[in-house]
Amino acid sequence: MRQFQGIGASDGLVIATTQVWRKTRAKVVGPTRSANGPEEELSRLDVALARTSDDLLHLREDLRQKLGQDHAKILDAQILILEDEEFLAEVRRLLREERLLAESAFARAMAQALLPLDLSGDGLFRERIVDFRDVEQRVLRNLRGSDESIPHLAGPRVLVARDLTPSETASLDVDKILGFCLEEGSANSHTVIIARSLGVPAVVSAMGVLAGIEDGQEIAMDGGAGRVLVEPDADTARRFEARIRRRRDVAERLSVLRDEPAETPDGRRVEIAANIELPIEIDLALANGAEGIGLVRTEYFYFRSERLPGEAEQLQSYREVLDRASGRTVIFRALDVGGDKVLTALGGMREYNPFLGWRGVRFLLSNPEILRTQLRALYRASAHGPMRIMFPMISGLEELRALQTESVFCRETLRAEGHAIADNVEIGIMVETPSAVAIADELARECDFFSIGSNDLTQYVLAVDRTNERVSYLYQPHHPAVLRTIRTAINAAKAAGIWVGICGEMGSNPALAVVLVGLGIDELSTNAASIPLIKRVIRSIEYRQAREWAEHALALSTAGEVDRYLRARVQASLRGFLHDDAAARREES
Amino acid sequence: MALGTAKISDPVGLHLRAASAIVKLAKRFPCDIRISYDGLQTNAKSILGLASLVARHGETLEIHAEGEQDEAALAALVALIEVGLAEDSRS
Repeated sequence: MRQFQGIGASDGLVIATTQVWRKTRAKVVGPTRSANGPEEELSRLDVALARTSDDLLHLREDLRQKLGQDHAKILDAQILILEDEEFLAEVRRLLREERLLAESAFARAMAQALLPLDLSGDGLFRERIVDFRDVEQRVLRNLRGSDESIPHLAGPRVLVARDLTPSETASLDVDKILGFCLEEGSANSHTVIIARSLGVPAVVSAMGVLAGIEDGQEIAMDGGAGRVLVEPDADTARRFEARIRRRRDVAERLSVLRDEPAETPDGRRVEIAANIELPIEIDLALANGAEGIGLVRTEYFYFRSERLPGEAEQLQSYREVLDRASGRTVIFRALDVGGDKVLTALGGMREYNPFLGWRGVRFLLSNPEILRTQLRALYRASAHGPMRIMFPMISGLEELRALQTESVFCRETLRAEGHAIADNVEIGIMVETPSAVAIADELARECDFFSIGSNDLTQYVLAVDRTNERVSYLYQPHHPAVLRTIRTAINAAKAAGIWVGICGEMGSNPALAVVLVGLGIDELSTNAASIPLIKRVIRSIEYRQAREWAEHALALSTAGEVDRYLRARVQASLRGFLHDDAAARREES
Repeated sequence: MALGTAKISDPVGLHLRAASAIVKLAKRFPCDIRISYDGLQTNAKSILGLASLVARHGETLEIHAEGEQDEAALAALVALIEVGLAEDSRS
């Protein structure tokens, strides 16, 4: 029984037959000389190199976060190759002097550089050629894009592949896919988002699976722990199946709550919504009992294509979201780039402090064309279903006012042009900076709602980068400082008479959800999978009780105290609904 | 100008991981650094160049640094190649 360890990217357990897809490698075919001249080729090369470097840095960061620094080092050599001035000088020389296509020049320079390794009889050295080839493939793919189409699944299968592009994933037969096991990929890739929305497990960055798993073999895969077992022995398979049954049992008992409201026994009702990125995720959200969509991350609509989407294209995307939500209210968040999501094509650059940098509405307000195109598309979509708009990363009142002005301008221009627009499109803000909380009373007077972005707010309040493994232990959403900050925001909203929700991961933690309800939150927007459990916990604890617990928890002094206090109380009311897999995982290893 | 030699301590030779370490260190110095082995010469800041030397464990590299901080660069590289690489491969 062989084992592979990767990054658990989409939770779920499966035992199934594999289908292995070994994409043939990108090759340089056709004419090798450029028809466009060296300047064009040089700029194509630069774009492809920048993109490849971005890809590698992301992948390395992902590996570092999930598997540690040692695993991340594997990619250092590849990154250095892209920075190898001697090598790049040769590629550029071939472009200029031989007028080659960027692809041909890159491949030829690489072949020259690798010749000595190729000729050496030393196995260890020849093995290393793989890394160089890997970079070459990445650059060639970024130069030309692979267009090899994905195979049809022969039946219900777990797909084993190197990586999948969004279009490849999109063309998969979703009825037959039981899971994804990828040699590369990252936890934030679209394949993973799709896996989550389909509710199937996905393991990424599982090094060696492509070479180590044969087509048609049986594998047991744990998408939460990132573990892949090939041809499990009878004992392991039995234990694995028992875990699958246990989970299914819990899910079934929770599913009866699907159409029930999230209402405490003493009558306090909270709206439960889902956070989504892709339109297809709405289906699972509704199936799990979401009453609305509390956050649509619109970045996907921008990142999926090479160029910026125009108004008509965006309108179509937003309409699709509204159609799928079939009458439930949808909150669209305006484009939120910067920070960890840099749009290089739009003039983004590496910053020392990206989380304190050019992101969210700071980016939008300095790109009025992008902002207006999105606002126009959103307002036009408003004729097709109930929706709201919210703006990310507000840190001052001037930003909100400037955005209100832009919104009114777009809305009125559209009306003058004769477009149908809903009358009541509410404008709200994400509360995710400490400054927004400090002036929450001012902000609340000038917008229609708050949605607390607890992930970023926690990072900013505690001054902790949770992706930095040396300090990530300090990232504590249950820290009294975070909870008291959130209370301030909620109270400011209440005082101004606007509604307030939360769209961070905090809302999917049962203990913290109870605290939020106790603090008077109106809406909890979480990932689709958490909805049944959160409904269950709200329906089992009285509002009176939740208020008492929240008050007590916020008066405690440390995160540890808050955690212990809440855990004991909330777990008791959830007995039998929390599937603790940790023990089972230990047994298998 | 600083000139010296270093024997490769890394048990698997100048493979990618070792070459990465050398490039990263060399890039910290402003001077020009060349490494020669078996009649071939390469820039110490070029990973492809270093890899194409195909230098194995126990072989001796010649290091030639020229310019600002060349003495310091030589000393640091000799220490890395003779001792550091072996330690790194164990960690």
